[in-house]
Amino acid sequence: MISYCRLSGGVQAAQAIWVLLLLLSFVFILVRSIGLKRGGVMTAATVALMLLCYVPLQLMTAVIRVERGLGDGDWAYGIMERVPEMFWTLLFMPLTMLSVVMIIDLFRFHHRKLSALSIKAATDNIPVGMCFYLENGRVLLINRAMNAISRKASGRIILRGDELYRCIFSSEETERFSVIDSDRQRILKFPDGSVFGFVRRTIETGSGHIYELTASDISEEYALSDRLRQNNIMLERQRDHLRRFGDLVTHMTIQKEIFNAKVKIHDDLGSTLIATKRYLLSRSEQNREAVLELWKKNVGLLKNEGPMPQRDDYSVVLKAADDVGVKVEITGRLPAAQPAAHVLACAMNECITNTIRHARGNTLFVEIEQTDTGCTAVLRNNGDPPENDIRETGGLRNLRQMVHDCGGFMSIQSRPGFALTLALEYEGEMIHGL
Amino acid sequence: MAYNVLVVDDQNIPRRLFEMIVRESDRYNLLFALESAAVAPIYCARYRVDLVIMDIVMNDGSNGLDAAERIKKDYPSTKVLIVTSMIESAYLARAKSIGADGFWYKEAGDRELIEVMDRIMSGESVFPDNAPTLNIGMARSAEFTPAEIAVLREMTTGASNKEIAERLFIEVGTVKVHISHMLQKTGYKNRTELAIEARIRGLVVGEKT
Repeated sequence: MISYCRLSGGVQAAQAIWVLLLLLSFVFILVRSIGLKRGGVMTAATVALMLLCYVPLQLMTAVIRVERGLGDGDWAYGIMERVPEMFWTLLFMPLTMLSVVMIIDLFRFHHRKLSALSIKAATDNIPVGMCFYLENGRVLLINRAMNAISRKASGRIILRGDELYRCIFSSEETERFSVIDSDRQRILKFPDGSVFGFVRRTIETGSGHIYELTASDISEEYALSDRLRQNNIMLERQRDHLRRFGDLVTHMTIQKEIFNAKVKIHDDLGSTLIATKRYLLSRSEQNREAVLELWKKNVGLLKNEGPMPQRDDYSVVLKAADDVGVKVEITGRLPAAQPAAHVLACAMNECITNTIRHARGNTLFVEIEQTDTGCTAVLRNNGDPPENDIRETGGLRNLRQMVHDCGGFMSIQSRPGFALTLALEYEGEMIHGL
Repeated sequence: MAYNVLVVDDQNIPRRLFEMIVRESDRYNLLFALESAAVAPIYCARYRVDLVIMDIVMNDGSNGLDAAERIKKDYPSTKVLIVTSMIESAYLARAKSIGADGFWYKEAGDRELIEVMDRIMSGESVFPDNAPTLNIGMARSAEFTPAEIAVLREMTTGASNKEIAERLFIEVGTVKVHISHMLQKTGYKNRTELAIEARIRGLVVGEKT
């Protein structure tokens, strides 16, 4: 096999240059690996590969110097004479491929590795404004979006984090922005219509803490919630109309009932007239009686038909008392103001029932005294006293709820005799002292 | 012996109509005709009342169903016939639950009322199978489910979806589904239109039944 020494000068030189380039590539890889802090194993491997290239290169250059009479290199010549040229080819081919792979890997590593610049570049592309600063206000990182917001809020680019924080969180309405909400997060609205929500977070580190200030563009959400607010106002108005309409409809329904009854009477009158005509034509005694009954019925329905007299709360109860034979003796003036009048009428109603049903009496006494803000009323009967303490069920329980709802006071006495005491207010003022 | 009847209706003409129907029958004796349900228990306490013909909605704010409930509780032997012209289904349901002995819609004729009274006094409970149906938009009232009617009733008070959900102990989403179904059935454009129509026609009454 031919050795390196037997090769022509040109081929020898070409091989030497090849090895030199290989060595330089490993030098490059070593330097970049150290720069990128790739680790000891990679560095040691690269140094080993460099040596693997350096030693043969020295041997080759010594042979070339000997052949050109430029120096002494017999020791190298002797070694290279014994080693076939194929050996070097088989050694450097894979080393060349390895060098290419290592260079590609190095570039990939470089692209993957985070650096301050790469982080800055990435945050500048984020639409959320971000600013990280130390306790002393020195900014560690601020992205493009936050710079723009800072300019909007203050008219200039703020260089200190604490100053930016104060500008956003401490200021009230200014010409540059208006404050919308400060409870859950700081929300500022700018004259161009944009709305931003600001939050500050504290990040604990080993040596202190870092503040993280973020700003999110919530313009769209704010516009939607504003529209929702308007819709809710409109809806509330509609509901209010509906509530009032409901009251009107009840009245309408009652009127409709009356109208239907009147229509029925009208139809009955029509039938009566026809029957009358038939009777007048036939003069039948049987028809006469039937016609008379029809007229009695219709006239009876129409009799006293007219606008219903206005009755107050008391007249119905007093009439009922009269109908059932219970005398009602009233001392003092019955209140006319509502809801006191209605409550007292209900209390009288309840006591009349109990006078008949439990006490077997026939008189209800109602003593009323006016006070500054309302009245007090005491209701008693002339019947038997209760055998046991009165339990409030049904009517009395409902009465108590009614009194409570209108801000009044109620007490029931069972001994020596039954007495129901009410303290009622006019116009919502509570009576004290009872 | 004739049965003693108490008529309770705040409106003149219907009340007189009932009075005449009762008087015309020798099986019944008109005890009193009252304008307010609130005082009906007073008469039951004093007199032997066999039958009360009780309207529901009164001008003075008293509720015939409340009075009927009290009468049935305190005087169980007294029969109560609830009468109304409103087809609100909750009335029918409450009348049954309080133990009323019958329920009658005023649109029916006089003859039917006497028949109902006779059946009640013979021990029957006389209730219509269902409330009369009426048209609500493109739908019939019978097409609404009980849950939909309950939601519709609350809607007519002007309550929001959240308030309706709280009152009925259901989710807000469920309320929305019911409203959506009713709008689909009736063809009405919005809930306000639906609520107004339901109220006007008497399908639901917003107040407490």
